[in-house]
Amino acid sequence: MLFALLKVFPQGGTKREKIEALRVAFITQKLNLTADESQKFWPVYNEYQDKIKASRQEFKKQPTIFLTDKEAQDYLDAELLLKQREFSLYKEYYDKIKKTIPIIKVAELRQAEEGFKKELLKQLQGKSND
Amino acid sequence: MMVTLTVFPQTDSTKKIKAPKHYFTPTIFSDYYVTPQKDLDEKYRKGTDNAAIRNHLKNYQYSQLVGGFYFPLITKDYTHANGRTSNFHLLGTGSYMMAMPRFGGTSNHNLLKASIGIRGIYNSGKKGIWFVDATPFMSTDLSAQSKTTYRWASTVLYDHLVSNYFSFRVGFTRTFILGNRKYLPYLGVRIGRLDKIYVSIQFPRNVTFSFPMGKNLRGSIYFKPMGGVFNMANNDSIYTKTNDKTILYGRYELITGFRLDANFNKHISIFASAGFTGVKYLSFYSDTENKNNTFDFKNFYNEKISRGVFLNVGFTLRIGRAKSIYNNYNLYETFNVNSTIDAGDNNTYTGDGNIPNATKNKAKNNLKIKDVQDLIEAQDLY
Repeated sequence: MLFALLKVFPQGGTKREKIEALRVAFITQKLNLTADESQKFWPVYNEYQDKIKASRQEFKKQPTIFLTDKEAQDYLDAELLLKQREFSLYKEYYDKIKKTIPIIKVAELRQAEEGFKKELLKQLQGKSND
Repeated sequence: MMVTLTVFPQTDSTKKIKAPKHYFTPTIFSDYYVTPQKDLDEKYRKGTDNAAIRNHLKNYQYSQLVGGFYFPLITKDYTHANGRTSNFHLLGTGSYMMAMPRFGGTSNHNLLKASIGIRGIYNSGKKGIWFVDATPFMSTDLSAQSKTTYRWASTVLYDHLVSNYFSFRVGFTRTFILGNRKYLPYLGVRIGRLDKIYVSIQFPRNVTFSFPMGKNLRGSIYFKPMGGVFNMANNDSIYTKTNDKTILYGRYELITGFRLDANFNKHISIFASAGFTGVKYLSFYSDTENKNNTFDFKNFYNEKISRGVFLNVGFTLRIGRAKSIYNNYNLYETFNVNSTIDAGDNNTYTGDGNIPNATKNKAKNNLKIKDVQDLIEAQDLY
């Protein structure tokens, strides 16, 4: 019965949850944190990601078809607010993360984040070429 | 930098972001446990002469239905100067248990035990986790007129996380899971990572060997006591020496079994478990004779039941979003402490479905743009 139910439900959570888990695995591998660094870094980084995710989800509530100038203006204002929030968060957590891991690893973190995006893009590119 | 700050002024806009507040989500769980009917056989007799009561009861079968919940009331994060993050969690708990002992020679009894409790957990973010739980509960017999009695169970412990691979716990517990009121030390040790394979010995709760079976399944082989003390109407005149209208029914089994947990996603888990009841006891205590007793209840009947099998199935629902805990082993341990000591002192286990199994860095091959569009910006394409 258990195995039958597994086929009915989506396995291992949403695809987005899986991607998040993969990103974490990717960063874990690239940063090679010590136990002490890991204990300090991950709570702060998880909090940063939660806030980024929440602000993007809020932005996603905006309508994407604009029937009036006001709707278009509201969309652009929301997008500006999103970018403003993301920058504020980036600065706030850049300072916080600096306290948890050496500055070289902060730089490597940025590279790892970009590297993960590139991996995703490669996957998408491969799919579109098929 | 000054120019940037002027273009993007530091407003309090980030404070308005509605990110999840708690690490624990409101959680509902339920499970059903059943053992088959056994004759009350003289060869398993223990203690005083039970013949008259044994002949009266004839045979014995037990099942129980448990439902429960916990939910976060307060979560506080503290960021320390050296970058360490500690947190405090205050949880409300509740449980409902229907114990259904069935005797061949008496009427059916449905014994209710219900609790509302509170627990506080402090994770220092370094090595230590402190846990305090208070579970007041009521017990009564729903099948016949009986007295309602209020009791309480409690656990206080300190968990020391030596590394991600090793932790130990010391504390104190007042519990009824051994079929009597017991004041016991809490002693625990875990070897192995909670998101991988581990062995955990948690006295008096359980001994568990747990291992992932793929991304969504976790198997475990375990050994634990299942028991409790319940008010039971004496309408079948089980005890006649006093005028007790209510007697106390105590039971426990030491069970050994295999359990399979399926975590469909962060929100839904189910489990199925089966195995053997190694040692199985049934006791009755007089209510009036134990009135002034603060420690173990003294029984007037104690029977050892022959070995058998059991079946246990259940589910756990976690509602809403929680703060991310990836690679935060202190919080993994915090979750495990919370799940090991169940709401209601029934020694049921909700599983650790909220601890993600360790993921290997394997590229995905079934990506769609909509899954990742907010991770990628236009400039990433150049």
